[in-house]
Parts: sequence; C-alpha cells; structure tokens
Amino acid sequence: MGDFTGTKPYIRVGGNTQDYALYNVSLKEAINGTYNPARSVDYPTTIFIGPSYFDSYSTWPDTKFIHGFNLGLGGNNSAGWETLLETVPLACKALQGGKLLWWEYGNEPDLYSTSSQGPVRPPTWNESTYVKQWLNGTQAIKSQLEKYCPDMTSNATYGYYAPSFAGTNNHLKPITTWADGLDVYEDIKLISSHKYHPHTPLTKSY
Amino acid sequence: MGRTMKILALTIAIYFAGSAQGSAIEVSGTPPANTSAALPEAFVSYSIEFAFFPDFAGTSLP
Repeated sequence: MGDFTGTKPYIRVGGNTQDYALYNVSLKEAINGTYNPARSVDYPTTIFIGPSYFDSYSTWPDTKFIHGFNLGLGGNNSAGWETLLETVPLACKALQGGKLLWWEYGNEPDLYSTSSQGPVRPPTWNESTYVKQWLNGTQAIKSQLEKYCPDMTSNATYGYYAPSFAGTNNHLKPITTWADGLDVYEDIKLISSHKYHPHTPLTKSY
Repeated sequence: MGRTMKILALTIAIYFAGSAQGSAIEVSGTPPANTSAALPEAFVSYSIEFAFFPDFAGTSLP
C-alpha cells in the first residue's frame, strides 16, 4: 500500500477493547486478557496492559498511528483514570518522532449505555455528559503531554479523532454532541464515525 | 502535514422555522481556509483491535 500511495496506511489501535484496558506497571507481558464468553467470545473484556505493550509501536517503520485511550472505564472509576494518566507518557514516548497521527479517547461511546457486552454508563448517559467527560479526559491528556512530551502539544502535533460513534442514530447523536461543545478546544482533527457493512451485525448474540 | 486538519468544516446553522417540520443545516459554499485536504495522505488506514495489537505488531524485544 505504501508503495502504491506513497504513504503507508495509518494504523488505528483501538476498538471495544481500548475501553477495557487497564494499566499494570508490574505486568511483564504486554497484555493479559481474560475472556468472559457471557460478555464476548471475540475478545477479552478483563484486560491489563504492561509497559511493554507500547513496544509494539516500534516494530513498523515509517508508520503513523492513532492510539486510543480508555474512556469506557476511564471516565467513571479511579483505576481507569489512573490508567489514563499513567499511559499518556508511555504512549507519547512510544509515538514521538513522527509516529503519532492523532489520539482517540473512547471507542463508540454512543453505545456505552446500551452495550451488549454490558453497559458502562447508566441509562441517563447523554450527549452533554459525554462531552463533559471527553473534555475532562482530553484536558488531562494534554496536561500529561505538556509534562512528559511537550513537543507533542502544538496545533500541528496534538489532536483527536472524535467522537468515533458506532453510527449516526444510536443513543448519542453526533450533531447534538457537536452542538454541546465537543470541539470547544478546537482539537478535533478528524470527525470519525463508524460504518458497518449491512451484513455485519452491530451486536452479536449467542 | 503542516496545515491544520479539520477534515470536515461545516458552517452549521440549525434553523427551526415557525411551522416547519424539520431543520435545515446550512453549509457554506466554500470550505474555510483551515480545512485539510479532501483525502488523507495515506488514503487507507487500518484499525487493529487494541487487545490484539501486540499479536499483530510484535514487540521490539526478542
């Protein structure tokens, strides 16, 4: 692909599991994941990543990445918030020198309160609450970057793919979200929205 | 990648006319000065599930 287009494909590291991953500094392995078939047979839903997880950003040369931080667990419990604060420096150091495309904070938050893997937000979850949590978390990300990777905080080097909704008609609506101020800091570089092939079920039931 | 990159820059004005059933979103006829190119440089990108990224990319250590 790189030969055809002149630029290697961007690699976005994220998905449902980005919102389950918690950080464990003592973990020797890159990742330790436990499957719960009642929640999903496709991927683990109890996940710990260690420092060496971020070594994977060094194996593909001349590639730009989008790294997805955890909003699913990060926005409403202290272990998740600690994970955010601790992994920002690890991610920015792994992606410095031109490897970072943009950041992402939360995957498909429009499904957080209705997820078939188990909701991570209450039924009262709405656009303005999402925006508050997204702004709160991204400001914390920026703060950590200013401390640990200050060369990654300019308009040219700091920004997000957002909101990465699963669709345009789920529990959170994109236009309401935008009107509620998601981009008030003007740091959203690409408006992201997921589109599933009509034959792919959005949720799986077993 | 020197430009600021708002890939979608819409001027969004939502009008609720008195007796209208719906709403109109006004989009400017020309994109603002700070929009990005219509196509990203890489054109194609891939999503790799977070939990499986080390399986795909490996680690730098033996």
